[in-house]
Amino acid sequence: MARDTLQYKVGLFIVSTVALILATAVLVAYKKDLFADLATYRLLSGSGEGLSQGMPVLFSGFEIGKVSALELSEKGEVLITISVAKKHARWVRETSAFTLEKPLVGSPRIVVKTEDPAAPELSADKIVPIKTIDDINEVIKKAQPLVERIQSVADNVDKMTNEGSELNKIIADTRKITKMLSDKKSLLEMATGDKKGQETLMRTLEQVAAITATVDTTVKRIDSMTAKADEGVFGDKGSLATVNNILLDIEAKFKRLDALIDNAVTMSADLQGTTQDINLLRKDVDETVSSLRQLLQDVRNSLPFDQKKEIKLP
Amino acid sequence: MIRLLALVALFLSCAACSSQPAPAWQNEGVAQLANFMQRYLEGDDRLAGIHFEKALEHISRTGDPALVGRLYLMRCALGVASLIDSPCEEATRYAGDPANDAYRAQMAGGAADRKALPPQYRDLDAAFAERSVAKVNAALDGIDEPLSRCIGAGLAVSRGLFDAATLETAARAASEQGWKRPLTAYLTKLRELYAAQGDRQREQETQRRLDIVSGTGGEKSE
Repeated sequence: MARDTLQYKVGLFIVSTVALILATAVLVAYKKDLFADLATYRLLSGSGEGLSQGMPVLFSGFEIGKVSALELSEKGEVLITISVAKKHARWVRETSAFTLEKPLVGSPRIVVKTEDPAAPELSADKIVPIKTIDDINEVIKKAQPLVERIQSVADNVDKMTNEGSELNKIIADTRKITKMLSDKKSLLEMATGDKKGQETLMRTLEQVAAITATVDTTVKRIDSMTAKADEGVFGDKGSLATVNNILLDIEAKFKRLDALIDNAVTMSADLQGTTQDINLLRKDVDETVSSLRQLLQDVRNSLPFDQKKEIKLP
Repeated sequence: MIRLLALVALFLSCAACSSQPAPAWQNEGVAQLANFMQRYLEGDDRLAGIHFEKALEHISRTGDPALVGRLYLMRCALGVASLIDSPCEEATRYAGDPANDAYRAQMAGGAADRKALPPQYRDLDAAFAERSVAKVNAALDGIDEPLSRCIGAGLAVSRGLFDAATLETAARAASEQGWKRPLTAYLTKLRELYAAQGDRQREQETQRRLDIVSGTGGEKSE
């Protein structure tokens, strides 16, 4: 009896376990829409790169279906068959756009976008072209100019650091200057290349200082002389007083000169009248001389002995 | 008598009718040229210059380079006659006339085309070629025109083919015409020659003549 009881319990345990496993599997399959009715749509792509069977189909980031089949058309294009659960088929419309996205990180997928949910439902017979967004290639395209710039900078740096480059020469010159600075006593000595240059400059500066002192003394003397000159020029018996007296005298003479000029103006007017008379007289004289010349020519022409004259060398 | 006078009057009127009167430029040009020569030889440069310009103005109206060149040659010749070094540069610009070119060559002391020279200078040119002072003096004596004689003497002096007789001949010709400029030049040259020869008496006589010409001789005599 006890033995039968044990066997019964073991059998019950195994059967219940298997039943539980099956129930769990059925539940999971149900949850995964394995038993749901499916709607199929057909898409068309120029290339099958990045496409694979089982690839998810997303709508608003939610998986509504999968790629169920891939095949080549007669034109060599790729026909994609996607399966979407019937309950999600309402999101697939005539105006829906299908895009194959290849993200930089993650696996490729097909994304459905529907702007107008009220549009007619997409027919299973219609083949819709699919767009491709390749993030990796876009990134590569954008990065290409940057890479070229980096390459150019690298080339320039290479040229600058080459042996015999300008930068190397500058560094060599800098070393020389640094060495000269460390060897020489001063910048002046380095500039002149003569150790005596600095000493000469110092002596010159000392002489300039002496000259400055001399100039200072001279300026003081000039100040003294200027004071005396002021007295000589602006004093009561100075030059300025004398000049004033001379100016007064000149002023008086100018008044007399004005009277003379008035007389000269009067004489000039008289002379103008005389000049006009002289001009008339000159015209009369010219006319007379011209008439006389013509008369003389007429007389010569009428003389029998006045024939052609020859100009002979003496 | 009346018939004779009437005949003469008729002859003169016919002569006037038949002769061609000289053009005005010729009358004026020749008259101004004569005045220029006279004033130059008298030593009046100002008036001589005026008359030369007038003569040039009249003669230039012809547009004849030979005539204009001859005018400049005459001025050059007057300088030679007065022992003044006068290059005939202006005359060179009007070269082309054979007579003018020969005359200019003679003035410059070069070889001249003797046949193209004025007749009075041909014997003189031959004497120059022989470099004979005696023949030069003889050729000068053979020249009738006083001015040509002075010019000839000037040419002889410029060539160094002269002596006291040469200078006396030229001075006599200038003296007879009252030409102060060439007379002064030849008397001065003559005095220098006598001084070089040590002939003191003739030197003083020549100086006295120079004083008279210069107008200081009368004051000295007083």
